[in-house]
Amino acid sequence: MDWKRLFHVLVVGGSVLASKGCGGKDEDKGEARDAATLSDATAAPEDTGGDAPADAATSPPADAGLDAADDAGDAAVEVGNLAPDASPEANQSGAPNCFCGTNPKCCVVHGDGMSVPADGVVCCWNTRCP
Amino acid sequence: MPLTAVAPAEDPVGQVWLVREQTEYEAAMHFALLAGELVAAGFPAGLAQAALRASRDELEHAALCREVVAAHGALAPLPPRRGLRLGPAPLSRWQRAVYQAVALSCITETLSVALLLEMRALARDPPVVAAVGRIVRDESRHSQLGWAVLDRASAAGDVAWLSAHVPAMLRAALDSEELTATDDDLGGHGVLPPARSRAVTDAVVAQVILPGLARHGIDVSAGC
Repeated sequence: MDWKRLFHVLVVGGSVLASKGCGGKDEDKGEARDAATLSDATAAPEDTGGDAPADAATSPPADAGLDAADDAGDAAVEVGNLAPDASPEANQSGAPNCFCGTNPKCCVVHGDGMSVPADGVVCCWNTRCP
Repeated sequence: MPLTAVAPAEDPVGQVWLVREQTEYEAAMHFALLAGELVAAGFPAGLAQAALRASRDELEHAALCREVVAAHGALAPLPPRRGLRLGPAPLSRWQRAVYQAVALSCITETLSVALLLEMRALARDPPVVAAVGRIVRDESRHSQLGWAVLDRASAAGDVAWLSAHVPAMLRAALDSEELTATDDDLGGHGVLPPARSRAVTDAVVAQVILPGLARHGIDVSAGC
C-alpha cells in the first residue's frame, strides 16, 4: 500500500475540499480561511516524508476513486475514475460549485426530460443531476 | 422479528458480510446525525449536504452487503449495536460536530478505505467485487469529508482539545473491525486474514490518520 499516496488523497484532498468548498454561496457562510492556512493545507505533508507531488494544491480530487494497483502486493492508490467536473479545482471558470442531486438550483431539466447542470454551474463532490 | 441467524452459522463469509451490513446501517445513522450537527454548528451547507449524501451511500452499501449475505445463506439483518450520539456528553455543539466528523470520517472511514483497498486487490467473487469497488469509492469521499471538516474547524479555532479523545476514538474504530476466526483463504470473498487486517490498520493509523490529525495541531502521542 502506498501510504503516502493515501495520505495525500484523503487528508490533503479533504483540506483542498475545505478550502475550495462545495455549495456555492453557502460556502460564504463558513469560516473564512486565510492564505496562510490554505497554503498549509495544500503543502506536502512533512509527516509522510514530504514527497507529495509538487502540484498538491491542484491534484487531490474531490471524489478520489482509489484504484489499487494491478500488483496486489503494491496496492498503490491512484486518482482515477474522476469525472472532469467532480473536482472543485477543475472549476477554473469562477462558476459556482454546486451540490447537484439535492439542490434544485444546480440543475435544469430540458424538454427531453434530461436533467443537466445549469449554465455556469459545476457539480462538485462527484454529484450528478438526477 | 427474530434477529438471529437462520442460515448455517459456520459460513464465515456470510457472517462477516452480515456484520458489514449492520455497520453500514449504523454509519447511515451516524452520517445523518452528523449532517444535522454540522448545520447546527454553522459549518458550510456543502459539508452537511455531503454528510447527508454519505448517509444515503451507506444505505446503498448495506444493500450491496445484503447481496453477498444472500449468496451465503438467508441471514436476517442484525440490529444496530451503538447509540446514535458519538462522544462524551460535555461537548459544545461545535465540538460535537467536529468530534463526530473526526471519529466517523477521519478515523473510521479512513481505516475502511485502507482495508477495502486491500480487499479489492484480492476479491474474486462477483458480488464481492461489485460491493467492494463501490464502497471503497464512496468511503474515500466520506473520509475526505472528515478531513475537510477538521480543516475548517482548525482554521476557525483550536482543535487541540481533540487530543484527549483520539485514543478512545481509535479504540472504538479498531474494536469494530471484524476479526474472522478462520484461517481459510477467504480473500476472494472480501475477508482478510486477521493478521493482514491488523497490519493494514496499524499502518494506516501510523501513516495516515495520526499524521493527518497532527497536521491540525492535535497531539497524537497517546495514540501511537
